[in-house]
Amino acid sequence: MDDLQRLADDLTVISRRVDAAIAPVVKRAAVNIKTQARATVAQSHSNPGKKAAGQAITFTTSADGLEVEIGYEHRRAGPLGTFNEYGSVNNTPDWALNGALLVEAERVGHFLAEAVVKLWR
Amino acid sequence: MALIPTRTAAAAVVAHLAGELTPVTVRLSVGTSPPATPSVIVHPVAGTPVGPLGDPDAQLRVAFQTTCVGATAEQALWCHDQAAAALLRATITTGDGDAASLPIWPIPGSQQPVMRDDDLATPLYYVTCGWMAHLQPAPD
Repeated sequence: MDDLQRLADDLTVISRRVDAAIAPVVKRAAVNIKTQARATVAQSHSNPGKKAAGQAITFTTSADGLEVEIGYEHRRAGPLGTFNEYGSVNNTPDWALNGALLVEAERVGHFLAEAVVKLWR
Repeated sequence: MALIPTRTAAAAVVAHLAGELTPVTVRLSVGTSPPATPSVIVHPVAGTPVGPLGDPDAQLRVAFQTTCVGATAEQALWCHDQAAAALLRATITTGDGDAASLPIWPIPGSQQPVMRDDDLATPLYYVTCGWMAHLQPAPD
């Protein structure tokens, strides 16, 4: 039980250290997603309206920096954002946000694994 | 080591769905307009080669979206339910038998509510969902 309790205590300490280390990483990932998603929309659409909607991709960060919400600003992009991203019956999705998110999620996952190893001291 | 083609991976997904779903029409990417209803359209994203240290390009990770189309919202949702049941944790094998997937899983947060496409002569309803398939070379 002592070993388990020590492990639980270690994990709690590590968790706090990782939280402090990951906030700037999360924000950097959000910037990367926004940049890549905007570039994907600009490259994949010739329609000026859809291209312009791509510029409305933005993000907001929670107070502790650990949560980010990324997406089309509805006021600027309107329904074109959803249309761009997921397509429709006759239109192919461009997956600008989903594609960029998959790439960044993998990078953040690698960082987390390395951070836990380095901080476990 | 030859790359696993995205084309064969996508064809395997379409073949799997076509074999599992009746009377649903399954196709790769957008076709004639309007599509038959109910139908599933598979939109693959060009795959990413991945692999272990010794062979980093041996495997292929393919994301794809299913767009399930129906004449009504209920039919679109039913179509999605059928497709999801066929794909969730399914393993697929490419037509040439050279590669097989690990269990397919839905990409969290990629599911969208039922939407109506008014750009058609007769509006149709559709539901989209993102999926991930990880293919490995079949053992010799």
